[in-house]
Amino acid sequence: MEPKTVLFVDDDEFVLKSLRRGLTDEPYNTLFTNSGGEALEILKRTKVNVIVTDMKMPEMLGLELLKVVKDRYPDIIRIVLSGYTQVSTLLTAINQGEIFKYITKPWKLEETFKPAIREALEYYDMMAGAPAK
Amino acid sequence: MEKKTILFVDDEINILNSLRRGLMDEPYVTLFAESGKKALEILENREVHIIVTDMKMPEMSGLELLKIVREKYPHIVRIVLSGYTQIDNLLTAINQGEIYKYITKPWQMEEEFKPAIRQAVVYYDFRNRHNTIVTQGKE
Repeated sequence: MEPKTVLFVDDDEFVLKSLRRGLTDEPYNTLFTNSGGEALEILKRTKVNVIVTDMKMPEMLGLELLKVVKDRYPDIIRIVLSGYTQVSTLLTAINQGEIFKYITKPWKLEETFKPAIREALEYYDMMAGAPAK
Repeated sequence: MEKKTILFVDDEINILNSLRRGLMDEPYVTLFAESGKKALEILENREVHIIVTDMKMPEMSGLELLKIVREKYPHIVRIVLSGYTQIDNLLTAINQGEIYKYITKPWQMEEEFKPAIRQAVVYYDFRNRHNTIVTQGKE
């Protein structure tokens, strides 16, 4: 099976670095960007299977990005990684962003984060109708 | 296109009655269950496309029901209709119940509820467009 690609979007460089370090041995390609605008540029030229985005970012908010991705690339599985935990934010993320998971910061890499990404990739295959392993 | 069937689960009869009345003219079949257990019985006998469940119910909670449905009937689109709006509940419903929408009580029938169900119907078709594989996928 071709390797999958996961795109991480966060305006906090520290978060991206920490993810890059933590996920080096995972069986998928990782891409990183610090804005929604750049994320959309990447999506134009690269096939991405899962997107993980922060909610609170300058210029384009995570929610806006999620909506655009949902619209243009409905196959991409959407996940939020955010420190922003208000009921209204969560409700908008699920109801308008139609997300697969909402992971809160600070995240637990082994127990929560890695399994969530793997589940998302499996879900991608299921949705895309890939043959069962 | 085949008419879709939506199953509503809530331990409050008033809620079910109000949904039944409000959705009478909608272009889908509606089924109602007062408990998670009854919902599972219905699922064994009927083809259901979308399930809308309360979270806080005696005996089987909405979350338990969602997990079972996710496991046994992964093609069914899962929605929560709940008055329960604590962060923890929301996160668990999203991350463990893998729900499509979370509607809060009291709901707004025209602006919110009906559109959510209609979107779910569209989403059902999108998600199950490779139907045979989806049903074979899990065991």
